[in-house]
Parts: sequence; C-alpha cells; structure tokens
Amino acid sequence: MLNGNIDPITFEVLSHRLHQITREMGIALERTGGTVTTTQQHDYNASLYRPDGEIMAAGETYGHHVVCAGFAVKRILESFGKEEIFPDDIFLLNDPYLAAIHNPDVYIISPIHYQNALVGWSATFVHVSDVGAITPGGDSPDATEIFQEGFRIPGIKLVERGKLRKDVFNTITHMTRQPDAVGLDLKCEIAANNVAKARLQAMYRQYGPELMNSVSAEMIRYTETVLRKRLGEIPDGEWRETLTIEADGPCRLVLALRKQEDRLIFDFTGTDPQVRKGINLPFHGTFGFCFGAILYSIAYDLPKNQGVLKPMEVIAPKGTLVHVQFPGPISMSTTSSGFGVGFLASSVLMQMIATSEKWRKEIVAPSASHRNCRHSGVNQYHRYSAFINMAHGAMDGNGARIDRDGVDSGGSYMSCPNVEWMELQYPLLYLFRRHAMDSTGAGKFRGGVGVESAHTLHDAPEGKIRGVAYGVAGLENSGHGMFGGYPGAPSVMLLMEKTKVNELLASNRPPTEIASLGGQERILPYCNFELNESDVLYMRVASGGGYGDPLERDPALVQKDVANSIVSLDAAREIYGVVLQEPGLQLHLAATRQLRTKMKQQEIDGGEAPVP
Amino acid sequence: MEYIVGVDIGGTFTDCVAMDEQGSVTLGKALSTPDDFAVGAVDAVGDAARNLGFVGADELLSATKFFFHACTVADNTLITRTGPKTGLLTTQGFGDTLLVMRGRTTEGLTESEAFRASTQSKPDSIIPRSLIEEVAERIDYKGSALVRLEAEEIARAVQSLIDRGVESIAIALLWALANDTHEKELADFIRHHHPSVYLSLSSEVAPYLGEYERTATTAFNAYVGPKIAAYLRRLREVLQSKGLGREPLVMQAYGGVLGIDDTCKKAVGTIESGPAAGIMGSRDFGEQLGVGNVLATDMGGTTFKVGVIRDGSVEKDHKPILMRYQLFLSKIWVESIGAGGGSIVWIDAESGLLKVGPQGAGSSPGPICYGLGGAEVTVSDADLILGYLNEECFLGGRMKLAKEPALEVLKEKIARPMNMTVAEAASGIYRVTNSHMSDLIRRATVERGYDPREFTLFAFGGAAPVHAGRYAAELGIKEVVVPLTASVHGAAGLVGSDVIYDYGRSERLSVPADLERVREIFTGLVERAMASLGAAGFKESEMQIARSLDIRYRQQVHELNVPFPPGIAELSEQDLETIYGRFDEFYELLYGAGAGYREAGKEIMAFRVVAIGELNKPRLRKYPIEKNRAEAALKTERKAYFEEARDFIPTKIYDYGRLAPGSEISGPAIIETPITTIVINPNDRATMDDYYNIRMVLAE
Repeated sequence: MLNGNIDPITFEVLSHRLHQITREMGIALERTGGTVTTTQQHDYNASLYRPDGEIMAAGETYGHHVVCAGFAVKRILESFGKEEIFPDDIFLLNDPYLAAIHNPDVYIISPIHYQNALVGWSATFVHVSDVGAITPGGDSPDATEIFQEGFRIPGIKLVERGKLRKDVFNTITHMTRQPDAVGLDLKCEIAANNVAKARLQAMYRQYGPELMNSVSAEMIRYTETVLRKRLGEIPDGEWRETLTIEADGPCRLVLALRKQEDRLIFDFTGTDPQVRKGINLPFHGTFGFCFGAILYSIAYDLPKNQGVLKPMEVIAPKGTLVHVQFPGPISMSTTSSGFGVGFLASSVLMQMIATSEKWRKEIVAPSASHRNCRHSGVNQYHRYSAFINMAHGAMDGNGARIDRDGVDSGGSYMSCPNVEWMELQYPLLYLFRRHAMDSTGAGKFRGGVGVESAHTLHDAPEGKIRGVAYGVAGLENSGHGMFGGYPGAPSVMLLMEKTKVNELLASNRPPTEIASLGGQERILPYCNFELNESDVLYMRVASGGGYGDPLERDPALVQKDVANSIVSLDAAREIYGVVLQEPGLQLHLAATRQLRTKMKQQEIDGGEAPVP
Repeated sequence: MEYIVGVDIGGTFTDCVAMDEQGSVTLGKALSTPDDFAVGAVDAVGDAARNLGFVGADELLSATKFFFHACTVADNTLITRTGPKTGLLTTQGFGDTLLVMRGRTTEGLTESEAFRASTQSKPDSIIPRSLIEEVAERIDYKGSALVRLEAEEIARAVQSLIDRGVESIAIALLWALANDTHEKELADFIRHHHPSVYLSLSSEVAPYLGEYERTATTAFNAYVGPKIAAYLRRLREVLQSKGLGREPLVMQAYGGVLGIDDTCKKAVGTIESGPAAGIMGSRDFGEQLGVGNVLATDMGGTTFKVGVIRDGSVEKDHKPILMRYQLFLSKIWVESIGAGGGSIVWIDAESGLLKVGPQGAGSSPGPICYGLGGAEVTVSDADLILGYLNEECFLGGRMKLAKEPALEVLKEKIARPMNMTVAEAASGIYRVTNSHMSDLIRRATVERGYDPREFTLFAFGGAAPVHAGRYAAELGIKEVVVPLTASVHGAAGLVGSDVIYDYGRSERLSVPADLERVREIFTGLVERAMASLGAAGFKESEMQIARSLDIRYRQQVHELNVPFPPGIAELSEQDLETIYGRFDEFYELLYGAGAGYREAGKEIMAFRVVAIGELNKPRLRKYPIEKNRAEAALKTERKAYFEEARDFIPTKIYDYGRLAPGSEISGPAIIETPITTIVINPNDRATMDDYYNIRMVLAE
C-alpha cells in the first residue's frame, strides 16, 4: 500500500516518532497545566499539522479538537499571511465561529520553521479555568447569545519571535475571574508547543526536509488509501439514528449515514433549529465529532491524520443545532450537541460495520453518555476557584462488545481525580462514590457499569458554592443496547436540598444511602444552581448498553456480577433468568434452565417477562 | 578470605556474584526453580563456589560477610495471580475504589490498545469485590473523625472477612494519611483475634494523598506479603543451615537492602528489585570508571529496560505503574518495552509494514534458531542471519544455533512478501528493533530534558551488546561500555548494596511554609529512619540521611521532588527559600524556559527521608594495562552484514577470554564472550579497560 519511493522501515520509524511527539506534548500539558481537567482528566489535545494546516499527526485524546485546531491553523495562515508569521511566533485563537468549539477550549498554535522555511504547525487546547463569561468556568446555561459567553479571540500573537507579549498575556488573563489559573493554563500550552517545535526540528535535522516532507505526505496518503479500501469492502447502505436532548423542551438531532463505495456521507438533515441556549454546535465541531467516531472505530489502528477526513463528507443544514449561525450561544456545545453528534456518528458507524463479517468484531454498543456538573466558589483556604470540574463523565460505563462486556466505569474520554484530591482542594465531602447497582444495560454481554456519587458542602467559608449542570440532558443519555441488549439506565443529576446529612453525621451514622437523607429533590436540567449547607448533589452517570439477549448470558457471569454488587439478586432472576441461592450465591442450574425456557416462551408470545 | 555474595533470581536463570576482599569477582549461574526459588539460589551460589575452587555452596556461605538477595517472588505472584485469599477493609460508600481506578484507565496500554474500543479493558481487581468489606467510619481531610469507628463495627467487619476465609487483609480507609486511628484499631483487633492473618495498612505502606493509588499499593502488599514472608524465612533457614552466619539482606525497588523482617512488612517493595539492583550497580560502576551520566540499558529475551543515572545519582519514581495499576512506591525509575531477542517479527497484512513485537517467543519455544520448535522469526534469528551470532559457539559453546531453518522461514514469511532479499529483510529487522530501543531511550532522556549525547551507555543482558553500537549511535551517544558482568546485571549490582530505609508522608503546606511544621514533620521521619538503622546495627556516624520535598505550583497535580543538601542540620528559612528556588530551576529544565508560572504560588505536598547505612565493601579490582594483545585473541573471520557496505563483509572475530586490558580492536569486528556477543561496527573502535570491560568509542 505504500508508495514505492519510500523505504517502509524508515516510514515506520518516522510515523512512530511523530506520534511520540504528540504524546510528549500531552505529558507536558498534564505536568504543567493549572486546571484539574488538564492535569488529571486528559481533557486536552495536542497535535501536529502540515504547513497548510492538514493534520500530520493527531494526538490521542479528543478527535473533534484535532480537526478544529486544523481549521484554526488555516485561519491563522489566512488572516496573518505567511509574511507575518515568523519563526518562534505563537498564536492564540478561541472563536467558535471561526474554528474553536466553545470559548473555554483555547487553542494555542505554533508555526514550526526549519532553516527559515515553514515545515509544520503544532496546536494544543486545554479547557481554561475561566473566560469571563456570564457564568464562572465558561459553560453558561443562562447565555442566550455568544456575547455573554466570554472573550472571543479570532487569532492573536501571544509570543512574537520567541518573546512573550506580556501586554497580550495580561490582557487575556485580566478578562477572567481567576487570572493565576488561566495564566498557568496558557503557560502549559506554550510549554507543550515548545516541546513540539524542539522535537520536530530535531527530526528535520536528523532526516532532512526532503524525506520528512515526503514521509508526512505519504502518511496521509497511506491512511486515506487504507481507509477507502476498508470502506470499499463494506456493503453500501444507509443507516439512521436520532437523539433527543432536553433543553427547555426536546431538541432532536437526526443523522443518516450513507456509505457509497469508498465514501461516507454524514447527513444531519432533519435536525431541529438552533436554540437560545448554548447547546448549539458550530459546523466544524460537527465535522470533528464525526472524525472522532471514525478514529475510534474503523481507523483505530491507522496513522491518525488528514487521511481519515478525506473519504468523509458532512451535510449539516445552517441554523440547526449542528450548524449554528451567529450569534447563537454555544458555550455548552461540546458536551451536549457535540457528544450527541459523537453518539449519532458512532451509532450509525456501528450499524454499518455490523453488516461486514470482517468488521463486526469491532462493535461497541454506542453511548450518549456525558452528563456532568461543575462548581465555583471560595474554598476552605479562602481562595476562589472558577472551575471545579466534578468529572462525573470520567466514570461512565462503556458499551458492550460482541464478545465481552463493556468496561466498567471506563469513562468516555477522561479520567477522574481521587476523592481525597478533590476534598483537599475544595470545600466538599463525598458521601459515596461507587458502581451503581442494576444500572448497566443487560445482554448476553452486559454494558459497563457507571458510577453513582453524592457530595455535600464541607468547611465552605461562605456556606455555599455555585454549580452548573450541563452535558447531554434528558432520558436517552445512556448506552443503547444492540442485537437484543438492553439500554443502560439514564444519567440522573439530583439536587437534594435541606437534607439530614449533618444530623446523620452528628449521630455517627455514615450518610451513604440516598433514601436515608430526606430533603427535597429536584432533577437538574441545563441550569445554574447553588449548593448550600445540608444540600446534597447526587449524580448517577451513564452505563453502557448491552449486546445480545440477556437470557443467553452465561449464568456464571451473572453470578459474578451479583457477587460484585453490579446486578442485584432480583435482577439476576427477572432480567437474566438466573436463579441464585443464599448463602454463597449458589447457582441453581436446573431452576435457571426452567425459568429461562419459560421467559423465552413468553417473549415469543409477546408478553412481558414474568416476575416470579 | 571473606566474600560478599549477591544472588539475583530471574525468570530463567538465577545469577550469583561473589566478590573477595581485593574486589575480584566470580560469577555463578543456575536455572531458577519456581517451585522453591531457594533451591536455585543455593545452586547458583554452588556454581560460583566451584568457580572459586570450593567444593560447594557451604564453603562459600561460611566465608560470606554479606549476603545480598533480589527475588522475583512478588512479581511472579502478581503476574500469575497466585497470592492467597486476600480481603480489603475500606470506608463505607467507597468499596469500589479499587475497581473504578481512575475511570478511564489507559495506563500501561500500548497506543493501539488504548485506541481500540472493542478490546479495551481494566485488569481484574487484585482483590475481588466479594472480598472487599465496607466499614462504617469517615475521616475528613483535616483528620477529624466525622463518623467514629465503633467496636461492634470492627468486630462485624473483620469477622465477615474471616468467615470468607481470607489469609491476608489490606486496610485502606479514606484519609488514613491524615489520621490513622481507625486503621490501627482494625489492625489491633485482627492481631489480637487472628494473629496468623497478614496485615497491610495504608497508613504504613503508602501514607500519601490519593485513595486509589494508596488502596492499590496496600492491596498489592497484602497480596504478595504472605508469599514473600514464607519464601524469605525459608531462604534464611536454608542459607544459615549451610553455614551463612549473617542475616541475608533483601533488595528493595528503591535500590537499597533491608533485613528480612523489615522486608516482610512492606513486601510490595521487592517488586522489580532485580533491575533496581542493576541500576544501582551501574551507578557505582560508573563512579569507578569516572562516568557520572549513565544510561543503563538491559536487553534480554523479552524486554528492553533503560535506567538513567545523572551526575552520579539514580532517578526515582514515586508513582510507578505496575500491572496497569498506579502505585505509591519509591522505586528506581526504569522505563521498559516488550522487545528483546525473542520478539516476534511480522508483517502487517494491510499496510505491508514490517513490525517487531510486542509478542515474543519467550524462552520456549524461543527463536527458530534455538531449534526448540520455534516457528516465528525473531530478532535473534535476524541477528544470526546477519552473521553477528555464532552458529557453533553461542553462550560460550553451551548452545548451538540452527541457521538454515531460520533462513528459510525468514525468506518465506518476511523477505518474499516484502519483496526483499534475505539480507535486506534481516537488516530491516535489525534496524526496526534498534529504533524501538532508541525511541525508548529518547523517552527516558530527551522527553525529560536530558541530552543523550552527554551520557555513556552501558549494555547489559545477553542481547544488548549485539545492538548497542547502533541504538547508541542513533542518539549521538559517543561511548558504549559492555561490563565484565554484563550478563549478571542484577547480581553484580547487589554486591555494592547499602542498607537503605525510605520513609515519607503527604501533608499539604502552602509556600512560604511554616518552618516549625516542616521541622516537626522531618524530625518525626528522621527519628523513625535513624531508629530503623540503629536496629539494623548501624552507629550514628555510619548513617547518611537525605531529606527532600515534593513541591508543585498551586493548582497543578504533578509534583517535583527537590532535595535538601545531605544531612540533618536544622532547617532554616533560608534553606526553604533555596529549595523553592531550586524547584523553579528544575521545573524550567524539564519544561523549558518561561514555562514556570511563579505567580500561581507553590505548595509542598509530601515529605521524604532516605536513610542510608553504608556497608563496608571493597572496590572492584583494577588490573594493569598491558600492550595491545588483540592479535592473540583473534579466533577467526566470518562474513557479517553491515549497512555501511549494504552487504556481508569479512569481519574479524575475537575471543574475549584471550583479550587483556589495553587490547584495541577496530570495527567491523565481533567479540565473543561466554555470555554475549559484542558487535563493533565499521569506523567504531573498542578497547578492553583495566576492569576487563569492553569500551566502544563510536564514530561521529
């Protein structure tokens, strides 16, 4: 498949090394970042681009940002022109109407020169602590247009010929609620771009510009060629999926995937119009989330670059949730319509590969998982934080696979911080954080189980902190089942006000059961809220959908799930038809066989499963 | 004559090094005996004893002044999951911590594994959920008990684990690092009522912030503890019955040795201690050669490892990843990949690209050329075809290699599909392998702010000297040393060991920190460390104490460890100021000038103390330099492939045993030793130095 002019061994060595550079950039971000999302949750991207902005090597996290940062590079090229781009310059851009997805994901972009010729670009994003929007931290449920969503920079030089422009740097941090944290955020991005530049230049010195240029072009051609060949082997067809997000009423996202020969057309026609709430997605974001879905399915093993984009086309009608028009609000776009598009794209791709003998084994039941909350306020050391991400979404259960269960608390993209780490930094007390029993999608292979957690205030000097609820709101936000597998239980975010949590603690009883807490519950939609003394925030994140009929699940696996507190004894019987007996959860095989036969017969008869 | 004996147990072989009072070393080797490793240990000592002219192990052991030991019992127990039934007591509401890990957990996966959603997984929990018992109690970040642990609850929770038949119990409660009372109460109860149960407390094993890593470390310790304890006690008995008059000392992952009872308390500390011994040995060895910057590389059959020694000090990792779990464990920093002589070579069907590893053929069936039934081309097969390895005389003649079958399979499976000649394919395998090695070294140096060109590379293990000249050259390294003891890396390191205790704890202090509090915490740690050294028989004058702090910029997560000057002089405000300044310098060294953001402020996150009790040992013996006797060592000439010629060219083959200090050889050439093969590339030069090491100087 390789172009005959390039020695395959050199190709292998160099493409591996380019990927290593993106990893190293990521490590620099994690080590030097100022925000928990960057340092502990892998909420960032770091990638390399060709001189024209085409993706040379995509970093390992967040495929959608890889594409959007490519648009950002192109935008810098257009607006500054080559004559205004010098060695050791560094640019900043965060305008969602030009290239970014929402304001807090700030792109830092560096041209990379070798012997005065522009040979490539590096770009990173991190979610900075604050952008001076109407709501601390950036995601702003009350914003009705982009002007309320924080600073919006169409491209500016942050570093000029190696020298930090302090006036620009200070202007940006000055616009935020937390200049020190945003300063760290920007610095870590500069550090990562410096790493990229040093490493890529070293490669150019070692291998020479001619070889480097031809290898990076060949990598893209190679990925495109292999991907098109793979597509060509899959039957043509059309697959559809919809998702409803609840934001002051239902907002419907619709996608049809048409596979024609070696091309993929993602068509969002039929999607609802944009709304006056920041769940709208810019077009390049829609494009990026489709790219991400391909990356994790039929391209997981290819060099990750522009070649992935070449066979794909995206149709997203203007003025809809997936192609917002100025000045529609977008601040919550990534985790709402964005993850929604990611779910739709992955769902139609899964349906597509299910038709291919060769690719069926890569099936993962798709998930519209993400739901999260974040806080802002004064901590126990009297210090203000604009952006306390609770990282619930890092503990979602993943979808089941064709031959194995989904990963328990496998997370959608991110990793979660330790409870102790959170409690040390912020005025919070976790009541519990554990796998949520009976929430996974049942199946021959079950979905991964998600986590439920609850926290309350602890040592908060102001007696309250603010909160923002965001993500994919609604009752469809969990894993979908495939081929007879059940869906996972939906995410739930509850604010429980005026509970008995402090009384329970005072009487030396651990408040680890929701039922014992009392108080008034309300489900949180997209909104701001306050967490006051004796309030509890309960969150159950998404669980993965199942694969295949639960009545075909190996009873020994069900027994293990019960022992591991993932499935209750009742559910084992009612959903899986498995009879276990205390003590010791002994498997009653004959009774199981009998019950399963009966349940299958009732399914065929069209009745409900029996409740013994 | 008295001896210092080091015994290192590896997967296949158990190595022994015996050093006499003049610093002369004698090697011994025996097969490892997994059913009872003590047998192999005694066999290896016996082999060294015979090489010294003794009749058997007893004679050497009776004359042994120090017996140092590194074992893989903990590693094996974990890899094969053959620990005893182990339970965990943890805070109510948090019983799944060990299973949730850090949510999305890709640590320890390769790039393609991390991307492939259809096969991703988490490891099976080291302690099954059904043996994790939640305890009603809760402590907060300040150490206040919000829910007190009651006596009935202790009895209930412990009994429920005992009823399930556990032999070992890990106790890891939230915030035990701030207040260990509840853990101690549980432990006291168990000790009193169930004295045979092995106990592992998070507040003792890993008193650091972060419940997942702390729980995992405590659980690992509980899981390996009983086996380590049984093994070491048996070893002591066997050795002492054969004449050893001293307590055997056991290597820890952080590079020092401890007595058996101390080792058993923190058994998890013996994980990967063999490689740690090797790195410590490289440091001492570098010091004797006058080399402060060393890259210690070790390439065996299945893995390639790199350790870094900078300015004479060994790098440590306080949060290593083992078996995909992140642990709180002081450990010599070693980076490794699954690539070695036994790595399998394959062609990716879709891309047509040549790939090496990560699958390996192991030692059985091993490479095709071993003739033990191996059917997949491996790196060693390519090395043989290129003329580097000797068909007739592998491992000093202990083994014959079969070239023909290797040639045939390589031709069929690799060369023909890639449309290459056999020589091109074999040389391609050699190149790809070397690039994996140099990538790993790059990760260990360049990515951490060090310039590999400022280092001398040591080549250990059977396969490293065949490849080192190339992977070193790719990084611009000028000098490669193949030590006399290249094949017994770990054991050779052991004979230079010192007794080291490593203590630490987490506590967050804003900078500028309260000097009194800093002094107080260090005083506690230092007292504990000095008491331990005292109990091990050291006088105060023989103790070396080093203190350090983990510091970070406020809001960041990753700390840097910054040392105070050695000693226990009372700390002053000025000392703290100096430390803060050094933190800024370290930070910029790692992440580039301007990356540090001092305006954010700093925080101290952990306190660490290392206490060394230096043992009195001879230095390695130095031999006189003679005139160049290389000609006398010339064995033969055969054709070997070198990429400079793009062909097989006549290559002189030398016998290591007949070289003497001062001998010089120019590449292309090959030196065969009883344990390895040293390839000297065209334009490179090699000399034998006054310690019988081969030192190669690489061409620009």
